[in-house]
Parts: sequence; C-alpha cells; structure tokens
Amino acid sequence: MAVKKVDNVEEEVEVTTKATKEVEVTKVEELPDNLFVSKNGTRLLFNKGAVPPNIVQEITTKAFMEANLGQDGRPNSGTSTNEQIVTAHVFLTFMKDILRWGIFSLYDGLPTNQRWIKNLRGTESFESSLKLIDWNDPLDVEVAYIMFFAVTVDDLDKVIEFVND
Amino acid sequence: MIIKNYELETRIISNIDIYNVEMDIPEPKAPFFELDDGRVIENYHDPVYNHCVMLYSQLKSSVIFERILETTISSYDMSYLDRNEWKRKWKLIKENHRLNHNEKTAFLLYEIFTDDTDKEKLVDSVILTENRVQKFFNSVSVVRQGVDVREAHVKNAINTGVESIPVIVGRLQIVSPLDEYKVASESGISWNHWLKDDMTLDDKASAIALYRLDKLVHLHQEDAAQIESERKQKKSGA
Repeated sequence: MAVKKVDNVEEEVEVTTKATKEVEVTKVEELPDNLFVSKNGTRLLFNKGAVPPNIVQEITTKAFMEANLGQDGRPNSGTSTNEQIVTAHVFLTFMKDILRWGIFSLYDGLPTNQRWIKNLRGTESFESSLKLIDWNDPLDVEVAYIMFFAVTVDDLDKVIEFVND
Repeated sequence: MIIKNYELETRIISNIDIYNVEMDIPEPKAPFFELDDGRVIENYHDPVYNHCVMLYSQLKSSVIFERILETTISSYDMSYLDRNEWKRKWKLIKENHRLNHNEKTAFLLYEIFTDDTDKEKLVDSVILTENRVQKFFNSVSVVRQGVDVREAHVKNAINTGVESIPVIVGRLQIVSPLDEYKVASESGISWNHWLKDDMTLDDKASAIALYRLDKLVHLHQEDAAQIESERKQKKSGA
C-alpha cells in the first residue's frame, strides 16, 4: 500500500510494482546411469560386459585364495606383517587386473596436461606394470590413467560390486 | 557341434581321463586351533577355511572343464583367432599371470563357452553324466507293495558314511569312474574294453542305471526279509 497525492488530496492507492524478475536458468547436467565417481573425485563410466564374467570369477577366486591361504593350504592368521603385505599386494594386482580390461572409461576425458605420463613413466616401482601399456594406443593410455590415478584402493569394494553385478 | 555360430568338432572321452588334473593352488586344510587344555586340533568350522573349500571346488570344476575342452574338441576354424576383437582380448589374458592358458583353450573358454548352458551341452555330449544315467534309471518301473522302489522306505538301511566326492561342471555331475569300474567288472567287461571299446555314452549309462536299479531291488528284498524275520522272532518270543 502506498500514499499518492492527487490534487492535494491524499488518497491511498494500491501501487503495483511490476518487478521484472530475471529468471535464472540453471542447466542441470544430465548424468548417465553408469556414472561412478571414484574416491578421489574422478568421474568414470562403468562399461558393463567389458570383462567376461568367467574371467572375473577366475581372477577373483584365485586372488581370494592367494590372499587367504598359506603355501601349506591352511588359512593365514592375517596377523603377521608379511601376511598383510602379501594380502595388500594380491588385492592391488587384482584391481589392476580388473581395470586393465577397460571396465571404466573417463567421463571427462584425459587431462589436457600430459605431465602425468611423464611422472608415471619416471616411477621405478611401476615399471613392470607399465611395460604392458602401449602408449600409442589411446585406449591403453586411458586405462593407464584409470589404473594409476583415477581409481584408488578405497574404491576396491565398489569395483568388486560392479564386476560381480 | 555348433555353439554361438562356431562350428566345433568333438569326440567322446572316458571319465577317468579328466580326473587326473593338477591344481596350481594348494587344497585348503583346516587351520589349527589350540584348546584351553593345550591340545591342538584342526578347526573345521573356520569361516575362511569353509569359503576356501567352496572356492577350491569351483576352481577344480573349471580346471576339469578346461581338461574336457582340451581333450574333446579336436578341431575348430583357427582363423577365428585372427579377429582383432579376439587379439585384444588375448593380449590381456596373456599378460595376466592368473589366467594361465594356451590361446586355443583360452578362446574356447572365454569366447565360446561363456555360459553354463553351452558348457552343459558339451559336457553331456562327450562325457558320461549322472543326468544321462538318471534317464535310464527312471525308465524301468519297479514297485514294492505298490510304491516305486526309488521312493519306497528302506527300514534297515545302514549309512556307512563312505562316499566319493562328486565332480560337478555347471549343473552336471560327472559319473564317478569307480561306479563305471564296478559295473564293468560285475558285468564281466574288462576295464580296458570298457574304456577303449566303441560303447556309446547311452550304452554305458544304461548299464550303470540297470546295475544301480538291480542293487536297489536287492536292498529292498533284503529289507523285506529282515522285517519278516524280526516279525517272526517277535512272534515266537511272545
């Protein structure tokens, strides 16, 4: 309600203020159902069927048994440091074995800065795994980035869940 | 045989041929457990041990299936291996130390026989399975006082606890070679003859089925005789 003076007569009139509201449109990105965000924030697409189910079964079973059984066939107590190192190693190679099949691709593509390749190739402990990468093959390069940067050990449960689905 | 449009040439083998397989993982053993009184026993209830036993049996079935592939598929068109899609897959299989197969077998395992139905189709056509024996076993009708002998109760049966560990591929159980040996020897067929002669899988399955049915009929006859003898003893005692 506002007061308007008309011919010195005060009268109350309703003044409608026509506010021009600017509607802000936020475009919501439509995300695919098979999108998975790894623990370090990389957006990945899960490629169902990239690895044959019988290969997953064989690798998973062997990895589980390697990690839990000693040379004599008796279950490990899991308490010694050596046993824990072996278990960690088994599951790390298991992750790489599964990721190698291209079960994920990068949703946002490879980083434009290729410094990661230089860093990776300069790391001595990755030498044996890197021997398998064909740096001229774009698919292999993407897999390498996923194996060494995009997916971490914290994503192990999710990776197993995906491939067993 | 045609599986997923791949034409494969197969041959029949003897069950004993697939039993002698070597595993590259040790057979699980129960872990030791120390009791309060200091005695050490093997703990068969350990969950990791039990899980490993189950996985070991699955792995053994896979190794046996691999043996079946290697020994029963005599040939297939090797030009399939030149396809680019397979070449990439083979590269990944070859570099994985847990997938230790030659290319010919790997192609059969991971490209052709990827589902259980196809595996069973092969296994049932090249090796003697309980499925095949069962068909013959159920085909002859024998009753005990009107009840099928296969379902009739045996009062005086003794459980000896002696059994052979079954070998299962997919959902098919392989006939134990011990059963084959018993049938062959009791039928007057030499073991060598049973293995090498041109007996079809149906011939062997029917021989095993009739042998088992005959044993079952004898068991019922002995059971009936025992019941009768107990009845007489009871009567004379009273």
